[in-house]
Amino acid sequence: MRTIYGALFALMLLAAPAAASDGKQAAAAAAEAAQALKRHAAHVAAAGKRLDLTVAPASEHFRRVFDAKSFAELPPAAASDMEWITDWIGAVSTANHTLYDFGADPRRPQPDPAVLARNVRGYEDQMTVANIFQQRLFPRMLESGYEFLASLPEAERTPVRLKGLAGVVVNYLDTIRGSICFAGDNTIKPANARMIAAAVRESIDIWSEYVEDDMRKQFISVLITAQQQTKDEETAEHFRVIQAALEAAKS
Amino acid sequence: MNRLVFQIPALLLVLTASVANAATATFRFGGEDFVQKFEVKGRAPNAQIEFGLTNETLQGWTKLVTLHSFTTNGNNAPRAAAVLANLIRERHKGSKYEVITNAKTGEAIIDFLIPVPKSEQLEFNVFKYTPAGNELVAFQFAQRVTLGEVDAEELSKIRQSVLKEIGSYDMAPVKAFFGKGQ
Repeated sequence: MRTIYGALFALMLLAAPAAASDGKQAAAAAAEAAQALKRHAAHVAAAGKRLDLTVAPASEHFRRVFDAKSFAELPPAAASDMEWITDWIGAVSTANHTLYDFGADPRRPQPDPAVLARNVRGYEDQMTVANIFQQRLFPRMLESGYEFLASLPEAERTPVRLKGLAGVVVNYLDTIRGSICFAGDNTIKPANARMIAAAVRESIDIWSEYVEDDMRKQFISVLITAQQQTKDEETAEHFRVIQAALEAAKS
Repeated sequence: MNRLVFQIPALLLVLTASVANAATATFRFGGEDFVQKFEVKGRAPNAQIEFGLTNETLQGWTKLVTLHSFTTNGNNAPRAAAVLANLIRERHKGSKYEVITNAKTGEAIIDFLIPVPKSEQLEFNVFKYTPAGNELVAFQFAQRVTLGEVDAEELSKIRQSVLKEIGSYDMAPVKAFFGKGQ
């Protein structure tokens, strides 16, 4: 009986939409869903099956983690976001790990490139959703982080806090670079490539501020390769615009 | 009939030569020879072959070369490296990694340092991905070091040396190993 009540409660949690503009609630739901997805994936893998992210409960867990609707309805970023936004980033990280590593032998410390390749191919649609969500989550995290730092007395702007924020910048730029590589591929679905490339282009004024000279060369290098690879003209156009903006910023 | 009788031994000879060649395949890296030791099962249509030093076992290795062949994910090396970077970031939080891409060659290199579970060891890994026609191959070098025996400066030297060598490493033999052209 307790199990039934537990299951009903879990279903209620899944079904209840997060209140609009409540970041704390949405982040908590995302964190819980990410753990649920991880447990479900482990269960499915142990049974020797593939994780199907298009059917419940996996699809619901996934939607909860990458809840773009709730995220879009949040009020402007503020220092107080720091109370919950790191939880959301953690949830995204857990869900990403679950997708990338599904089916890998948990006893092996090394990454399994063959498993990774299979998952990238099998979960391309979900990885696209996850990628675009992250491209929106990171700027908010940075804005909130800098607001938070600004709200602190000088003595409390510790090296640890500054280093933490610098780490977020690195992760954000890696996400952008990874997005270009992901979209600039001749095997990706054109619709997915366009959405990712458009998101990178839309946010260029934000992320390019953090790109230093040596890094800019690497970004341009991946953009050139992406343009060579993609078969989709609309995606290629996004890449051309991004490359031109980076080159203009250099001079 | 006679023709068939001659063809069967010829076919057997070719098969035997291929197997012998595969069994004795050697790759040289860091001034050392790595001999083929193991093929990871269940990878088809991809492939993953491990090469170790002659005096080391696959359980207690300190250096390992692995060749990878990816047949169904296209030939985009930067994407493969970027996806691996994503995994490293999520799986080993805080681990250091770096991706280098070369637009001229279409190749990509990623290196990272991860802890070995239940041990005092760290594992340094470097992958070089290169297109092979419409497919992709990768050369992986891994080295395990024991904390306390190697300090940060030595580890940095190992990394720099490996990155320098792999940067100019000719991937033609890796492609040839998998029977792939340019």
